[in-house]
Amino acid sequence: MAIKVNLDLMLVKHDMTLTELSEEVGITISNLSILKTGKAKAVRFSTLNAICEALDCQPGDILEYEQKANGRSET
Amino acid sequence: MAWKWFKNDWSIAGFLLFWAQFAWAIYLLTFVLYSIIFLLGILFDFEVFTPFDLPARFEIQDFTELVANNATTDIFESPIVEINVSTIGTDIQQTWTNSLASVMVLGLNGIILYGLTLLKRILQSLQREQPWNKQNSKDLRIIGYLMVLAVPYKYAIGWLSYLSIQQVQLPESISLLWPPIAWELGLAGLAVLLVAYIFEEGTRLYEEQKLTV
Repeated sequence: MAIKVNLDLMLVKHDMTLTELSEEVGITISNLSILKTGKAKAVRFSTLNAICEALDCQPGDILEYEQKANGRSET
Repeated sequence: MAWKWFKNDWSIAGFLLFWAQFAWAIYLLTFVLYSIIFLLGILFDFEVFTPFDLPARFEIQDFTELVANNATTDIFESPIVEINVSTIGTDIQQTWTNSLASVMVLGLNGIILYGLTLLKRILQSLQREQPWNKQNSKDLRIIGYLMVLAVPYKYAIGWLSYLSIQQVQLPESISLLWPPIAWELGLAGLAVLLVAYIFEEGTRLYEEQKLTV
């Protein structure tokens, strides 16, 4: 996947653990873990909204498009 | 174990699984038994070289005379019957055609056994309420292909039977017909392939939904 999730970076910036974020946004740790490890296939707007609210950031701070070396993105 | 779930589980998947297990056991027994008879026949040159009955289709002229009932005149004007002919103790000589037909009938039993094994696995996952997995769609696709390929395979067996039985002098009123083509089996196979495709798409959607946060 060419979309990189920078959730761990944002958690460090806000000095927050995944468990604390999970409690604040009301999403299970396993689901947040799927998102953090980049295994997620899709993210709901409501999830993104809740995370942005909890971490006081923009969606662009969490998600990042990463160009592959050969110029083609993986699907 | 089998009795336990038969007593407690009355879901359709459970009911079908019971019959699939039952049919699987019967086919396994038949396959093993006939394989042994067949191998013994080859090794010791028994007369029972062709243990399987060969499928054949006959047209019987003047059937009403045979049943001796005038009320049936119109019904049995020219009936076509499909029967399995036993080669044991008949005038059918041991040729490559009936030997090959017998091997192919044994192979058909093996194919059915394999198909039932896959069906059992699908039904077990349905019973566990976990139908959406790649294995199920793969198994269904294999069953579909087996059913479609069974059409020419069965037709080949029919032809070999035809060639074997042709050598026997039949009464004038009975004529041997060309073997039928099992269209229904082929169409059912295509339907199974379609279901397999739907399952594949369902599995993809399920996995996507599972990985949506």
